[in-house]
Amino acid sequence: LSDPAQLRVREFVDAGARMIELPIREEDLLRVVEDVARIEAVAKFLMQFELDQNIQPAPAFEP
Amino acid sequence: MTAALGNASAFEIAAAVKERSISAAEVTRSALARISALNPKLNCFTRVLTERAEAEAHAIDRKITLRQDPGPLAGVPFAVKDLFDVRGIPTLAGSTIRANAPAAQQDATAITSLNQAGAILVGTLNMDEFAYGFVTENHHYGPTHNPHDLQRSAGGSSGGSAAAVAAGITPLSLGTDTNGSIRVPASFCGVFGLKPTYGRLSREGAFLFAASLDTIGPFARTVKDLATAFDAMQGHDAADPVSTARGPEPVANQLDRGIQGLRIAIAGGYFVDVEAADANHAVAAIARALNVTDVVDLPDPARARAAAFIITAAEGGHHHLSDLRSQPGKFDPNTRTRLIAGALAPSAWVLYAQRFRSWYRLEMAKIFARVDVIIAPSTPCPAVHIGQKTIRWHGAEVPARANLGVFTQPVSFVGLPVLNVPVARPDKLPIGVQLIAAPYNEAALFRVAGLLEANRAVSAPVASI
Repeated sequence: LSDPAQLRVREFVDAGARMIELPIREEDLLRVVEDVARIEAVAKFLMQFELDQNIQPAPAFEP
Repeated sequence: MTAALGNASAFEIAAAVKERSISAAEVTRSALARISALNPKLNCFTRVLTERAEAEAHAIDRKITLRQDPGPLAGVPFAVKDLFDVRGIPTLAGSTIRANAPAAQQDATAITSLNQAGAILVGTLNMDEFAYGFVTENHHYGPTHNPHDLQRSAGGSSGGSAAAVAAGITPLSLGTDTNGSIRVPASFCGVFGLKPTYGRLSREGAFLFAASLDTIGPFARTVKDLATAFDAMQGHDAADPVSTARGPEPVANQLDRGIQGLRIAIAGGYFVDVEAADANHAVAAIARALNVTDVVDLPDPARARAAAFIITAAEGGHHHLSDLRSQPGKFDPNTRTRLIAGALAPSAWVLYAQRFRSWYRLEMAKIFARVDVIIAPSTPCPAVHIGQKTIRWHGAEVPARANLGVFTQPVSFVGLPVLNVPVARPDKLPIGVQLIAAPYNEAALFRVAGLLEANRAVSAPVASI
């Protein structure tokens, strides 16, 4: 983990994992960072789509 | 009939049992023998329930002797994905973590419903660990092989369910679908698979993955069998908090109605990849058979898929948080890191995805005001090889495991009912097409599928192994 982009995600992972009390094994760290980076990329793509402020989160139990 | 039982439909078996040309006990013995013969090659069964199956068969035969109604699926063997509760054994959900879980106190509601219809449970079926995957290459229990080509994947996560039916071991099985876990394996294995409307069938006793997306559904080799199983499982279940209060709306009586009055269109744009020749041909064959030329563009399916991905990751991670803390070493490492990443997803991403879901639901409702059924490919390609790392998608090599659901995720994201039909293409690997309808309009899907089957545009022959 030397790439600055990965280090940035690692900081997030370390802080988040501490916050929810989820220990991460050393051997998992790189893959977790990659997986979080993948979700982040997908989220950024999604959030480029501008939603009307009045649209509320979907209720869980309605198709 | 005994020799042909592997090729027989559930309907044919039930008819033969009811007219006493064969007993349920003989049917059951035959199914158990096929498991013994074929499972070493396929690895689709995780547990065989011999004693239970024999007892259930005896009960059906006794009902027939007493001239009681044994149900529409009398004596029909079926098996379930290894995440349905089966009374007396722990529910593994494709994991080893749950091997020491307490045995289920009762059957899942869906199993009870099929039992009440006369069907006989013969075993549980392989899957991706905790249903997180599209290939059924299970780290703990091994890969399930595709009956049409043993070197290839059965698809996932309900791969064992699709393979058992495609191989003629059982004419019916049950799986679950979160983002495509019924439709992808149904496409790869060349069988019919139904992902019903979210909330239509009870999930009580099924080990969930991402609760706001999960549905259960049947696999079969004929439309009539699929419809009969679906009808048998319909009905409100207070034990499942998302079970619809709507009454059952049977579909088995819809199969011969034809498609007159139905407005059908082909999904365009995102759903057409010029390099996905097999998928394009499959959709074209179905459109031709239905004489459909209209094209409809869904509202930003790529972002719908993105939102489904985020919600799945977050819900899955949250669901397994306790075990990720206490016994991380028992997870498949691939599953573990993805679940951890999902557990860390910030609320800003998850809530945006949920807001997008609201928007997308409204936009899809507008489409369904002018179209009844949408045709789209189920998978971008036929079955991949076991262990295959990448597939082609829009001109690039992309990871196979993550992208086999490109066509299924944007659809199930808002709970729509979808029926995978296996396109008839003799001497080629199977591939499926999705028939998609508005919430609770499964009847339209069965009308279309019934016509396609009658015209031989779709079929699910038993694989030669």
